Amino acid sequence: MTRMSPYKLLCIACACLMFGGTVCGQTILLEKTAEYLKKNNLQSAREAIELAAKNDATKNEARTWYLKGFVFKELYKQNPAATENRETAVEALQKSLTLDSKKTYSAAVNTDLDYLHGTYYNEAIDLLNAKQFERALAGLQKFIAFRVKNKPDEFYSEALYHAGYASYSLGKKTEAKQYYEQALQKGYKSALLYDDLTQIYLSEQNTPKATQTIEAGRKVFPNDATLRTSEINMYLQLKKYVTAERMIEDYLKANPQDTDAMMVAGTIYRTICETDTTKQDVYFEKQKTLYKKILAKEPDNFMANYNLGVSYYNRAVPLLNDKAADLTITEFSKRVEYISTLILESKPYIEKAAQLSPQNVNSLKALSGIYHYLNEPEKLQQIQNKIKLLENK
Amino acid sequence: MKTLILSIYILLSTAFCFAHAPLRDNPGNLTYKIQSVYIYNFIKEIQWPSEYSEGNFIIGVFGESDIEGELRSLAAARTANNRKIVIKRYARVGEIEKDCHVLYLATNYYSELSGVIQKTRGTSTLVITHKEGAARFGSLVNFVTEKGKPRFEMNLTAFDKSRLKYTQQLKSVAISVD
Repeated sequence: MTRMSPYKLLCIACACLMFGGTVCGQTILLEKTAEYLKKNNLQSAREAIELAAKNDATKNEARTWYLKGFVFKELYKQNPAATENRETAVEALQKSLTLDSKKTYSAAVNTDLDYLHGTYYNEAIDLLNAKQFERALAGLQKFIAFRVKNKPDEFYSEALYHAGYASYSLGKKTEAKQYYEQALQKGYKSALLYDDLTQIYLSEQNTPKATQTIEAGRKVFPNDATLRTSEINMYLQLKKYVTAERMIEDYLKANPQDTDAMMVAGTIYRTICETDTTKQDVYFEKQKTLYKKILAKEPDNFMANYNLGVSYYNRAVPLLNDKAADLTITEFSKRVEYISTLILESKPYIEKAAQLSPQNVNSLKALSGIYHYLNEPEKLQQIQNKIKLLENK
Repeated sequence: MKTLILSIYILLSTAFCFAHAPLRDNPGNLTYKIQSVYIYNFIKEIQWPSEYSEGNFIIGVFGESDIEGELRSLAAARTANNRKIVIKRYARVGEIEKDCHVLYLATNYYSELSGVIQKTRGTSTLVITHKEGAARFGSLVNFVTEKGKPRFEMNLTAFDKSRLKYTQQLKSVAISVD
């Protein structure tokens, strides 16, 4: 590509002065720009158009700014890393629109602006993937601002969703919510949008909105696993255990091998067991059956070992409530025997959990309680030493 | 317009929420809860001589032990035959009062047993320990663990000497030691 020499540019400028004028400025500098563009000589086109943009005769012409925008857009295309060229192009094109009262260039200008804003969008997606949320959001905001005026299509609503995600990742929950709500309003259809918005409402403790959003999402995407999981999690969070239990059991009927879902069911059974004293025996049995089923498939599942062990232990605790003192000594001795059976049942699972995850303080503490109960002082001392070491780390 | 390329990125939350089941009580407390309920049952199943029938019912704890908290909870909610239950902590043998009805010797203070026995000789203080073999060394009741199950031994000779009368129900669930 040939660059225009300073001498040549000076000659053109002098010619403009000699011929006094506006017409000359327009025809020479702008025509030269167009000519260089035809020859794909972008550097010379740039130099010419920058002179035109400063020239009194041409600086208020829509064509000047359209050409400047076009040249800088081409420069950006040639080297996308030089994003300042894109900024200059957008500014120039926008200025052209304001000057173009007859709308001579507006169609071409808008095509270029559309292209340039599309690049913001594409770049933003790459930035989201690279977790550069601040820059991604800035690009998306430019795209959104352009599209809202010109072309609020499916890319616009999608960009609103991505802007919501970027904002959320930056901890800007209010902005995130606004973008998500707009995306939904503009008809963006994605299970993830329903899911994310539900999480935000839940974090704001706006239960009605959260419920309404997730249920709407489930209607649109009835088979979406993410939404189903979120709905179950939501009911757990809202302490609607019976609904959560029904949902997870329905899910397990269709997915009987899903151990994660079984673990969720275990959490629900445990919670019901703890909150409804009339159902403790039933839900204790359900927990045992479930965890044993998981362990039959995955004997080294830490969580299943730990939770099964703890469920035995926790079953023993309410048996020693205040009313235990009302029992006769014979009745109480029988109860102690049952409690001891539960603790002995608990022991191998907690030992296995501690073996699978030796750094886990929870399992070590549970184990120390068991050894204390079973009066195994040496083992108790060993475990207590381990706990001390871990807690001092 | 250039085709927009969408990529997949990591989303906010899609995993099932399940967690460690929390322990419903401080591990280790079960033992002391059981012992404290047993002690409350001893009060129901043992008769102290008439000179112990006035005033508050005193349970002493010798040394530091988590059982003290359990006994205090129990004392706040219950009485001993309509008498207020008072929990006292003793740090030295000399502090043990003559009218103490029950004295629990904390496991870590087992070396003080002979002094305690000497101090309570001729009284009707129910000395309780939690140490293998302690019943044979003079404590009246000793908590033990038999095949993983908490039980208690009763030293029947020591009971006779202390003039404490116990029910057959108490004896039937205890391990008798002579």
